[in-house]
Amino acid sequence: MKRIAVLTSGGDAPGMNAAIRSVVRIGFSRNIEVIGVRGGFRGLIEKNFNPLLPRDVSGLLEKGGTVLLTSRTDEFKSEEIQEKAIENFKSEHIEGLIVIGGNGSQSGNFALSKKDFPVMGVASTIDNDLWGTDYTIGFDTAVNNAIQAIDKIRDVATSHTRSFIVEVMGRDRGFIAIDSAIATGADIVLIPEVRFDIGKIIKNIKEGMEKKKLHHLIVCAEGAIYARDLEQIIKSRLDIEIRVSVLGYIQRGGSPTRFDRIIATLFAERALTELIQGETGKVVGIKDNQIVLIPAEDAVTKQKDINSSLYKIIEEVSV
Amino acid sequence: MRIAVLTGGGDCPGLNSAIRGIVYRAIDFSYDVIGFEEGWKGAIEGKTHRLSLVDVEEIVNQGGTILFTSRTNPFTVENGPDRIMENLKKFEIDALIAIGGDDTLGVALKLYQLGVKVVGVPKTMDNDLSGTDFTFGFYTSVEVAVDALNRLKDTAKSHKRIIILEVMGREAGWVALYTGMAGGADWVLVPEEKPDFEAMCTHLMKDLERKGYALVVVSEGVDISLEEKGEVDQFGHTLLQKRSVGDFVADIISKKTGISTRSAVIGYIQRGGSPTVFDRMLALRTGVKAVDMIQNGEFGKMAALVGSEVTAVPLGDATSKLKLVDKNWLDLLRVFLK
Repeated sequence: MKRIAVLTSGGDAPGMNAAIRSVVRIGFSRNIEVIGVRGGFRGLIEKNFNPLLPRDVSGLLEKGGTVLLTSRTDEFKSEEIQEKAIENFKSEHIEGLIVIGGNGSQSGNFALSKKDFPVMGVASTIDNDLWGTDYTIGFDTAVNNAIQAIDKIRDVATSHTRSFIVEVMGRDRGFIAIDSAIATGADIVLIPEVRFDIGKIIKNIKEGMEKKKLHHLIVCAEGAIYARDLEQIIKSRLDIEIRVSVLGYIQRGGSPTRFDRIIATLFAERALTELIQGETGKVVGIKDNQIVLIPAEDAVTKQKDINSSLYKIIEEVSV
Repeated sequence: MRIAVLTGGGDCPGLNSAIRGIVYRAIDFSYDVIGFEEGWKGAIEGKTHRLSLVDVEEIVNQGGTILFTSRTNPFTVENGPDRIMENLKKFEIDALIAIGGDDTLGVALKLYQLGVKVVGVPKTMDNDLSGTDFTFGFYTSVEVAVDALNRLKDTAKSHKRIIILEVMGREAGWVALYTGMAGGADWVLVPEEKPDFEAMCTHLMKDLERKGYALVVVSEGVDISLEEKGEVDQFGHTLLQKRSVGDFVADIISKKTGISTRSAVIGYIQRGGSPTVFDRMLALRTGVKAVDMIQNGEFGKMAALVGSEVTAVPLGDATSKLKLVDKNWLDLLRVFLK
């Protein structure tokens, strides 16, 4: 393989730039020409290709977001579009592709590799919802962003002896919610995967108030319940000062943590190495501290379990 | 001599540093210091808090307030002022230091006029208090907002989007102005100026074309003439989190430009956290000055930063009118809207 392409797709995640840098520089060291595709899968269709040299990716390690830009992937589900993408590659003599992204992006990986175009994926999404990998690039930074914000909210909660509901990202999965809840000492965490009992939450808060707990901190994933709705429910049943904070997009960006920079660099190296050696249709992730390859189909179709021991511990710690 | 301290209104970074300044200076004059908990509420109910050296020696870097706070206004509580005076007598308090914004200091002034020996320490995150150039809390909160704006830039740039950041500021746009200028925003909406959405959208489209993204900072208090007003607190302020100005502005941009636009609200995150060096220093200095003012018998005044000095300024100067963003500042802001 002499010439490959790299793209980022789906929601941006801190560390994507570090992965791009790794692909470009390691590719250069191994005499492989790397072409950057701008704007995700849309860039494939529009043939938005630019060769990337080591100096083009200087200073990228610490930058959040993605310099290759990104787009959502809905239209890439059509076979016609996929064939068009492969045609575009062939006309530019591009022999393989590295896809940096989460669920939707790795579905694109699966689709193209099924059509016999060599593709390797790099697991990157702040949601951490890819099966087969313990962590995805961007998750650690996003959780740290959430923790930083919730620590500040705790100051306000303590000063005003007020309770807070903090809504974090996670439409379908509660990974961000669970980790940020444990790390900030939240009393209650609500995630989309576990049905929750409003009666029990009310009872918990009531008991806490009787035990002279100064305030309660609830972390909820946006997909479990909207914080504002929960606020209304709690207010209608308890005489309690409670406020809402929706963290939203602030969680996404920012300079990647040491963990995200390192796994980004390692994932990208492995993806490149495997692609050159003829591997395809896989996603690079990390399992038990080892860099691993996950079949793209499994990564996007199988349901990754939440760590139920973490979930249980929150209840026990909050007394 | 025995003095009492309280913190009122919204909490902000630096309150603990100010309390520390007061207690440390009081030791120099052999004053006893106690705290009232939860602002005026604690003064009315006689809820006290021990404030000795060991209670404050490790709090210079702590956000929030160890004395707790509330928005209680004693002049709307039955016999509020009388009960405060009774408690001052009961706990043998000779002078009172009130740390707070215009509401808290307004109450302090009224009590002073009723004969209580009061000294104020100004505090506001919004920096909208007159009579003082800066108040502690402001810089810390702007740092948080600028940090958030930088993160939003990553997402806006990656997705080629316009993103709105809503920051605090009910009447005054200082937080938005500083965040916008220091964070490199493309448009800033402040409460002092009627929003020109048409001009904003034209400008943002230009930015989008040139660099592929755009950022807008908007004060929570910008007049969007919504019909529904939210709850009102005891000082008559609309509780602003009920109406999201950021979402409203994002909607306008989406409609006018056809580009789907998102917003983020910084909200309470901006209030907490460890104070920056500037805010710690200012809080310590104003705390020390407040005790000096008691020693000198300068009551009915607050310890305010004027130029580079902390001086005693009449409380009335702080509470008579808000310090707003004026034309000079708006002109300066416009230099960066290109």
